[in-house]
Amino acid sequence: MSIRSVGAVGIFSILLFSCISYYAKYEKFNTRFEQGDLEGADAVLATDKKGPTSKSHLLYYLNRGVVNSYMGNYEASNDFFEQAYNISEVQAVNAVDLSLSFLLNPKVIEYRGETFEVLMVNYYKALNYLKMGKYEEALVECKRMNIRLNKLSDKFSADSKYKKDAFIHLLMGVIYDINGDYNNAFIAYRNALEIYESDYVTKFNTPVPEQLKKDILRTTYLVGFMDDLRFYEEKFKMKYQHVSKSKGRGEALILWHNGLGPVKKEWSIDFAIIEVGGGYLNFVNLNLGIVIPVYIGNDHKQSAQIKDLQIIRMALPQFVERPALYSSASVTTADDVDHTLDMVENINAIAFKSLDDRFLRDLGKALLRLALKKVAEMELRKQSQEAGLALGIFNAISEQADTRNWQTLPHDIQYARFSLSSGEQVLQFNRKGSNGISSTPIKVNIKEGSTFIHTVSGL
Amino acid sequence: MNNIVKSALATTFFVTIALACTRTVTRVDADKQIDLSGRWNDTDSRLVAEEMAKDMLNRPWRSDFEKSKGKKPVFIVGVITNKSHEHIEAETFIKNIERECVNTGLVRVVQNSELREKMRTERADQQQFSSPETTKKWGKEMGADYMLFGTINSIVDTYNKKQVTYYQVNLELADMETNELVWIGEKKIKKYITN
Repeated sequence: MSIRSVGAVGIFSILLFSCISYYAKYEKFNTRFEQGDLEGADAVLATDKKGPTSKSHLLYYLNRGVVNSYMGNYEASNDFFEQAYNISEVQAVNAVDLSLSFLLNPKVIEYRGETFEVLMVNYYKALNYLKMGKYEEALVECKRMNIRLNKLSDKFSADSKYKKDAFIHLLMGVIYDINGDYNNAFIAYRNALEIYESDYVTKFNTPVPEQLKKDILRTTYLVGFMDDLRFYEEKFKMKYQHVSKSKGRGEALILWHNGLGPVKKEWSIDFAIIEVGGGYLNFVNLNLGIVIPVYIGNDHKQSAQIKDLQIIRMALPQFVERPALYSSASVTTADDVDHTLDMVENINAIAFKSLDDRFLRDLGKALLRLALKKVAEMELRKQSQEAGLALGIFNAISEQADTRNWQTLPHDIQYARFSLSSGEQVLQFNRKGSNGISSTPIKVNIKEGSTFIHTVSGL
Repeated sequence: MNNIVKSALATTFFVTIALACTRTVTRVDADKQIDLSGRWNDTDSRLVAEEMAKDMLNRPWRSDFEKSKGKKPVFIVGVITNKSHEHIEAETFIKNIERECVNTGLVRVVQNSELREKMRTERADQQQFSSPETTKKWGKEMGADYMLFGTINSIVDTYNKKQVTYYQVNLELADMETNELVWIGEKKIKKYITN
């Protein structure tokens, strides 16, 4: 095999495995989305012929769903999200893809979504249904969320992992509430309260939202759990004053999708290989303090071969935050009443934690992948140095991290819920950040006795 | 091939088999007990329904009523409150109890308040549109003698990777005139879950 052929293999590999991250690959879509050009963004996705059938088709459907939801095309949006839901429901992994992933990289496996992304699919669907006034369909999404929450909490046994989602419980409470099922609403709100108190405040710096406390008091009153009402009044140091649904008034629920969630980038770790005897070799990275023993056997010739490798490079994904311009917001009504929004879900923090939780498992898989690649390379080197070199180049270039993630999710979600007189009116939405306050008008149409839901998005 | 390649390929093979499972669906008998996660499931609902229906129909309140009034008692389902930590559909066992009552013919049941409204709407519609001989009259609804109430409660005790979940379902029949409780049924379920 000549040097020219080796070079050809090198170029071929570079063409086959472009090293750009998933974010950069869809730069056109991302730029338009970030600029608020939703029609343009959807157009870019629509022309992506490979989108619906590629290994990242989950993200294709999620992005189309989000964009259409923000454009107000709720039916179309839900069609896309339903496709995404079905993809994320499948547990089985294609056997061929799995074996290939150990010889190439994890991108050849179909992307099924991070744990929190899988929960958000039903959130967006429920939101679309609520905006269309289809409350029973929203209840179905509610039940699906419950099942997914159960699956999530069964995933890990350690309490330190992200295995409970308070916001989804809160959302379930809102859906039951709007449907008039105050008993189930109370149970969901209470579960949410528990998770905010025990988990979220420490892990994600998200304390119990004030609105949640008010909703708990209201639902305990409506179901008639007077003992619980007194208990929570004591606990929250709040006295409940019942206001029956008065004529000519309704409710507004404002959800703010603030900023954009993090994107994945690749980072690499170098491991040094040290023989420790007893047939074991240690893969060591002193900077990170990681030592992974691998059993090779007492065949000195083999261990000498592996030791010759000395340093190997491994690629892993990491999240990079896209900090939000604004950190808090409030809504001012026509009669000058100001309502501050409460933080309910810090998606950015949850994303970082999810990746952290599976760091060791990802590392293990990456190590196995590297070992197999090196073994193949060594065997080939025995027959032909150049072929081995070519494979070495191919392996190095194909060693990439899986940088796919749902990049149109917001940085965090905040909400406010308040009573308003019915009819069409304009509210002022005031975003607050280090640069100052930016106000935009939002049009709402409050129907008597019902809840109007409005999502504010954008950077 | 030397040992390393063999073991490497063997590892890949076993890892692949272990991680790549295909989805299969097997239909099982609706009465088969399958406990997966330890949460409230269909077996729990069935146990509650069986116990409650049997208990309710075999207690003295029924024969006492028949002796004093000379007819079968009528009940209506009221409110079942869920104070547990899970979303439990009480309807799955309530319907079972109603079915037992109606099918054995020992106790009569009237439609609950929610669905009764739909019937009244239909009856109002009949006054306007149906032929006189088929129109149903107002003021002929059967008044219930008893109302069924219920509560579902749970207590969870966890430590390390072990959990004990205790459910208690109580159903009671209250006399519509006197508010007297004539029957209280109870079903306790306790589960021990280890991870």
